Amino acid sequence: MSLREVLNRVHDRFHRERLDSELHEEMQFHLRMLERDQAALGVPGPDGRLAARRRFGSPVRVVESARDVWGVRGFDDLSQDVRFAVRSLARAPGWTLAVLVIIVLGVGAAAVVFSVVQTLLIHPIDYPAASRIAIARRVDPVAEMATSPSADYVDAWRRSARSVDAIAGFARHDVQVSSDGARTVVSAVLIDTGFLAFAGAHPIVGRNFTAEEMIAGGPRSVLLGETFWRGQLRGRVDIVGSTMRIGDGLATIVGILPVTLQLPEVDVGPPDLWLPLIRSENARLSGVAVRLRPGSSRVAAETELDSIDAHADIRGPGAGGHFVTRLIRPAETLRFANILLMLSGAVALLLIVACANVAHLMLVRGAARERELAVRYALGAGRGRIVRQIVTECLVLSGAGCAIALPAALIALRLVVAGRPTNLTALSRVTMNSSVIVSAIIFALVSGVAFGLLAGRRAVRSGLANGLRSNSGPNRRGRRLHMAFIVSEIALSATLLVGALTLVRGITRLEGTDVGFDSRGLFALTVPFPSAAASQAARDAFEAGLLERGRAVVGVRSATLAGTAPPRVTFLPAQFQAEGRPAPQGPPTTVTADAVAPDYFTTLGLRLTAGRSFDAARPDPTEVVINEAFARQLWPAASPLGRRFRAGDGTPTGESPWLTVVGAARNAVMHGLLEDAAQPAMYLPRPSELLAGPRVTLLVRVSAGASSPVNALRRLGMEVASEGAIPKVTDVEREMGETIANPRFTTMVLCGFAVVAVILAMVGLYGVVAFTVAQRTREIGIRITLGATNATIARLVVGQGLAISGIGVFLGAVGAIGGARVLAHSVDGIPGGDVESFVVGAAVLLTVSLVACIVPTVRAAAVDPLIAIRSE
Amino acid sequence: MPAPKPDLLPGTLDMLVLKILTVGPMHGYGIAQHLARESDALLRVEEGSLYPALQRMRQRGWIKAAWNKTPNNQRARYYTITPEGQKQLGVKEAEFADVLRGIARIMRPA
Repeated sequence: MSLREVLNRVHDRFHRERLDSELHEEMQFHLRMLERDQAALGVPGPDGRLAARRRFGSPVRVVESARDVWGVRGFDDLSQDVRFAVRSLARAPGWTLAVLVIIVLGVGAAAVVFSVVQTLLIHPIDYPAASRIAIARRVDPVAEMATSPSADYVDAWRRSARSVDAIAGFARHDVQVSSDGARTVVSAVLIDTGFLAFAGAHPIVGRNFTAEEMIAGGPRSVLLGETFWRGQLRGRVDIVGSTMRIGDGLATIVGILPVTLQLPEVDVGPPDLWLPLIRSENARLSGVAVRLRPGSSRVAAETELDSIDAHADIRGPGAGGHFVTRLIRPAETLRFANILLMLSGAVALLLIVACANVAHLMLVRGAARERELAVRYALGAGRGRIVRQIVTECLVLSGAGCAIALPAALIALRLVVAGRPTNLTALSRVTMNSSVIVSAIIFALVSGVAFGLLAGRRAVRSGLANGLRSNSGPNRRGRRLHMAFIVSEIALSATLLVGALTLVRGITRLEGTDVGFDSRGLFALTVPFPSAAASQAARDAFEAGLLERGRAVVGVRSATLAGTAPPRVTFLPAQFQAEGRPAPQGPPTTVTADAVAPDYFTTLGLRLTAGRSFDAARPDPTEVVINEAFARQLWPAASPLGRRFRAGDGTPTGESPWLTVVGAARNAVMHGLLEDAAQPAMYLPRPSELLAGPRVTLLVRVSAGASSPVNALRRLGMEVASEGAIPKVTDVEREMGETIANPRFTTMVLCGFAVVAVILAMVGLYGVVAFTVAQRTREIGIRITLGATNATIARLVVGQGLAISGIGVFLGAVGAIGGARVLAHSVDGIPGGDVESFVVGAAVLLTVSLVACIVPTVRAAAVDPLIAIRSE
Repeated sequence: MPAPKPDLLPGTLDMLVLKILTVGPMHGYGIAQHLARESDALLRVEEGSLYPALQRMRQRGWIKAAWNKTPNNQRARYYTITPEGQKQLGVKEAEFADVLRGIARIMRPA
């Protein structure tokens, strides 16, 4: 059959009515002509008509034959088969629902995870020749440090590297933008002229930067990000060519870049502004991407770049030491690439479980309808017809499953994206693309056909022969195999469930961590000292003014000053010598240190367990408050109050003056919920020479119920900071919470998986128990006849279900012991497995196992002994 | 589909219709008349059975159909042979010649 014939056939199939009437007209004409001939031969009237009819043959048969030509036989049969399949599935609603649940969960979960994987791991960036793009890093494996190559490297590589086609460097910076006297901080990315070509992007409006704009002292220009342009500037095209105030100067807006232009680092969202990367001003790059020459491998390129580094005289971060160049795939810059890989594995496992489940349910149904099929076979349905009927049923199921699963997956994906931690910017880009949808549909259809063919073959081979003979079921070996399926499913879901519970407990514990201070209602504003405040006196005055204005913010109950705000801390690596002891040798100890105002402890709610804070009127720079952990480290057995110590870098000249401990503070986790509270900490009075920094932080506590002071603090920051400086406002409680956002997200996702796995396992268990009940109807009938009570029957059914799930739970618990170890390694802040999670997980699974047995039990108890025995 | 009368070799109806259409466009009645006249009424088919055959050949693209007026100003559907149909006719004629030769050989008096 040629393609044209197929098309014509399909075309005719849908124009049957017109073809019908045309054929009628044609035949009428033919018959009229024949009658005319007869009349000419002298046979008019009814006789002539009869003769004409004879010559023509039966018009009815002609029409029937012609219709056969127009119809698409397979198509018409298919729609009949589908209707039949829907009716036959509707007769077994429980079974159909079970299969649909499995398909929806399996396909839905896979669609969600593979959408994420597809967007973030497989096609993380949309650059030309994206497969050859790599991110260059300078890595010191000994010191476990990594940094971006400096601009000097980029220059050297551009000059002589043969293994790379193009190099693009960029830097991220926040900048201050002012318009109409209002100043805001926006995100910016600094790029060089080649970046747009590298990324294959073009401005929506306007032009790229010119070479002169890349030179210090040249004309200053800016490209707007599309989102910023549409949002802040309401998408006005005439904005191009005008100027805006960025930092402390005016820049000309030369164009607008599309929102689709991303950085090669997948985690970072598009910035508000794009600025020229002017070499002398910003030599520090935050990322360097290279495009490998076709045919050169990453390893070969690494070797070549390293040999160039060795010859070029390069200084700055990433030079010297054990630093080597590493080229990584853009997807590897994703913070949660490992979690994603884990999830892909989990979802593959889930699909296998789902398939095993469906396979089992198919067998259950096959056994249940052996008689029906045998009767149809005996009545003359061909083997092929029966197999086709079963395949159609499977296709109807998988089609319906897809129709539910894909929209559901879309919703689930939205939820995941909405629930993402704020630092996983990349997740916001994830959408369900056509390739995922098409693969899901293909998977469902192929597996539908495969299951249908298997079940059909089985039915034809075993069922048709003996279906009428007795109430037979799958053989012993087959049943053992089913049991093994279900047991391993339950084991898998038990492992996942215990893992999820462990995570939930871990997260709850982390969230409930006593941080040692009161983070609720605590806000901070960090400002760089104005360039005018060069002298210490000027800085003191600036701080005093800042504190005063901070106290005036609406809702603020108390305010104080420090160097940093939690969860940021300053680490001071030094050797600490307690007075009267020999100077310590060996590596320095790391202590978190901050220079704070005297009322720091009261404002933060950080209790002093002994001693006092600094004198409010005249803080003594030789006094110090240390936390209990540090005190125990310096003087394990005695009170630290009044004792002295000093910090040094190991040389006699690099030592601080002796510091007298005047107070001991509680141990507090200042730098995130994942950190150890017992980290030594010291607090010095402001201003401190040891901890002199370029910025100061105003910490304020608002009264309970007061509105958020964030906007007021932001305004205050803009007012006091010098032009171009970037003040930063912190909601301490929120940012402390953010420090465990990643493990929390992992927990959320794993919980989702555990729930899906448990549902799948329970549907499987239900299938097995229901099947046994159906198989044993006669036996149950006899038992009831012989006096078995409902309770006995229930024990029989439930006993089987619980035995199966008991074995599964036991095996799953064994697996969970291993799983807990993996979790503890891969998710921060999660302890190894705890007994409670095991107990709760097992209890939950056994309880839902009981629920899965309810329907079959009720059915078994309702067996009418007379009917059951007679039904043979 | 009902077979043409047994006296017509199976599969030859298509060939005959195509051959007749090489003369020019013709409606179903005309084809039937032509068939009877040219064969001296030796080949008789139920004329109605032409129509399913015509439909099948139209689907296969061997012939085209179009409504037109007869010389007596009646509406009739005229069939025209397509280049594809010409090609098909050649194939069928060759096949038919082979069959005839084979039959003739067997039937030749010994």
